[in-house]
Amino acid sequence: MRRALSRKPRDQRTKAKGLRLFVAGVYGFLFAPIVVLVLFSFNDSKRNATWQGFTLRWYNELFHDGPVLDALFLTLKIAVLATILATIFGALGAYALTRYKFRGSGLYNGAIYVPLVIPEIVFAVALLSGFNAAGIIPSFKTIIIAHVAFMLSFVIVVVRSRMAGFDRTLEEAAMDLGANEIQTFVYVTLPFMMPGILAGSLLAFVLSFDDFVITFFNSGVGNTTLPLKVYSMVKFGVTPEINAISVFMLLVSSLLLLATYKLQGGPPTITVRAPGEE
Amino acid sequence: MDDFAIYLDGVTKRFGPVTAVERMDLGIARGEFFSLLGPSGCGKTTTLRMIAGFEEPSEGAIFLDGTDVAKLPPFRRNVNTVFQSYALFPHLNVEKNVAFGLKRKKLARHEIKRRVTDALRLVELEERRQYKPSQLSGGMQQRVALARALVNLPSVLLLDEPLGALDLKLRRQMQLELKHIHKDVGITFIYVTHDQEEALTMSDRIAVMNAGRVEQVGVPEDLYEHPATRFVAGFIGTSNFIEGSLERDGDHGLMNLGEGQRVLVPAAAGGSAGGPVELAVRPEKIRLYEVGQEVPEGLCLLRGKVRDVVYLGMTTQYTIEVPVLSRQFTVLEQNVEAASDQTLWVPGEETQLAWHPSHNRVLPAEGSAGAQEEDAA
Ligand SMILES: Nc1ncnc2c1ncn2[C@@H]1O[C@H](COP(=O)(O)OP(=O)(O)OP(=O)(O)O)[C@@H](O)[C@H]1O
Ligand SMILES: [Mg+2]
Repeated sequence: MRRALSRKPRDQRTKAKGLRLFVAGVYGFLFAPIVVLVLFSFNDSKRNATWQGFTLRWYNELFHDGPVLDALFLTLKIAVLATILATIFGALGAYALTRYKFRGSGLYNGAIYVPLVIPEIVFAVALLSGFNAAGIIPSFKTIIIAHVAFMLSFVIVVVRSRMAGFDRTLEEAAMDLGANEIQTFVYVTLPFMMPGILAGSLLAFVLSFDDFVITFFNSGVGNTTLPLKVYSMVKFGVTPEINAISVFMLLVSSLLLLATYKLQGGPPTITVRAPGEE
Repeated sequence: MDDFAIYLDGVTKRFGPVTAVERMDLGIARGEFFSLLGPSGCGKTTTLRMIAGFEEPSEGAIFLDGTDVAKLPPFRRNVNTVFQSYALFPHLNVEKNVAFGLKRKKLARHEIKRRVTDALRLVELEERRQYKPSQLSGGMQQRVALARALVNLPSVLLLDEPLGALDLKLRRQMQLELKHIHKDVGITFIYVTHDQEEALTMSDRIAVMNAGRVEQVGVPEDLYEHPATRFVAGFIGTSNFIEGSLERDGDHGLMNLGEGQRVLVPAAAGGSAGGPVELAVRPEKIRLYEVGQEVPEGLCLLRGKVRDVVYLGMTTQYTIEVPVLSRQFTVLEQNVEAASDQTLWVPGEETQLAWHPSHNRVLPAEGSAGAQEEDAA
């Protein structure tokens, strides 16, 4: 401590400067490709090499490209459907896990993190082999099931962290005032959970919307979502149209995450609790 | 049983090895302001929760207006609670909080509106009806909680230390308001507090609880003047306790304090002859006399030496050493004259303690030392 204080200020300044450079380097590394991607989506050239001038041509082309639009609508359909299902199950699951103590509830609480931490590809392959073992042929339905399975943990974790601050006396007060169990849930518990539920569902939507790995393994023939479409297009080189698609997806995801951020009053939180911890 | 708003018949509640409430028998009359008074952890909240329906008694029965409610869930009982934490619904404004119970009863909209307005007028919060609970002060939240419960016109209103979170001044003011509201609405109030002063000022009757048991039920004066147990004598106000044994002497009891000191005690005093008992004397019943000064005939008399003087404005509190009993007495004197060295006793002075035998309370010995320190004042 004493030694640190007696160090020359000059020394500190160079150190701070070095640190700033390092931070700038990290952020540059993170964002430069994105900035380039966005810029070149407005580039008036078929190739991504040099800047030729500003145009909205690629966006125009994008919104007139039938297969791309089909992929977009399929992606949205999957995302909406899977989000609704995952939100319902996830919210109920989070309620059960925080509200009731049952045999193995500590284990269930901990097990929720498994899909969050295992490699996505392992999860995808596990689902695929599960479908195979059950004799289910990958199709639209399997994508939904796979997405719900994947999103469920995220929804539960987000809603559960909201529920952790719930005062059970409120439920007692509702019952005291004549509300039965269902009315108590609908009029008191659910409104309290709502910001968590919305945040969880937005997060789930984003995850589904830009998911590649899980969809890739479980989609079967003909179910080309937007990320899959982009992947197949990239095989023939990165065109400005792909840049435009990417910018569009970036925009959707960012807006939704921003909404989540606003709802939770902070960055999307994923609180990690040890199993069995109250 | 039908005459009571609430009747508890041998109610016991156990949480695993802990017995929170033990064989409680209690009848509370309609319209009464009834208090449950006792130290922390004595089972007051548990008792209220059983009446409200949040806990099921392990044994015994609870009757509400003459009917056994043991198997009724909270939302089927004509009882409402004011929670210590208020438990206002944070997402609803004042008006909707108060209307919550009426809406569950599916009353007509104009009827709900009228009753909510009446209830808010009663607690003087009409102009805050659109506020969210978080925008109100603690005292206002407390009044919303009260209105939310009262608006349902329950047969019994349960209040669990409703003023516990308020500062002293607001507390005093709310005590008066609660008292007024009780008079206005005529609903039975069961009021939980650990503050003896609050219980004494507000209640028609009080049940003093200790470790899950009811020690005594009575009107405030009775509890103060005729405590039934050493615990009550020590918990409500302060008492000087002297151990001894009871002897008989004609019309009056006679208590042997040891060291040849005997005092007369009221004939109705508890305890059997020869058995160990405790004598309790209130500090303000004892008068101090100069040594050699004539003391009226028939008073209990002890000699002592002033140890400590605490001037309290209206009164002065003396701690007096009584060598013959080898214990200290607390004596409270009214400051009738302007206080000065002439009128106050000073430490080291010899004095005589005297009191009328009718102030002697003989209590079954408990062997629990230090009850005097339990004074909550
Ligand atoms: N749900 C419970 N599980 C286990 N023990 C409990 C439970 N509720 C209460 N107790 C125990 O029962 C006893 C009485 O508790 P209770 O809350 O009724 O006390 P209280 O008189 O209201 O105290 P306070 O003045 O501190 O509120 C305590 O020993 C408490 O630990
Ligand atoms: Mg309590």
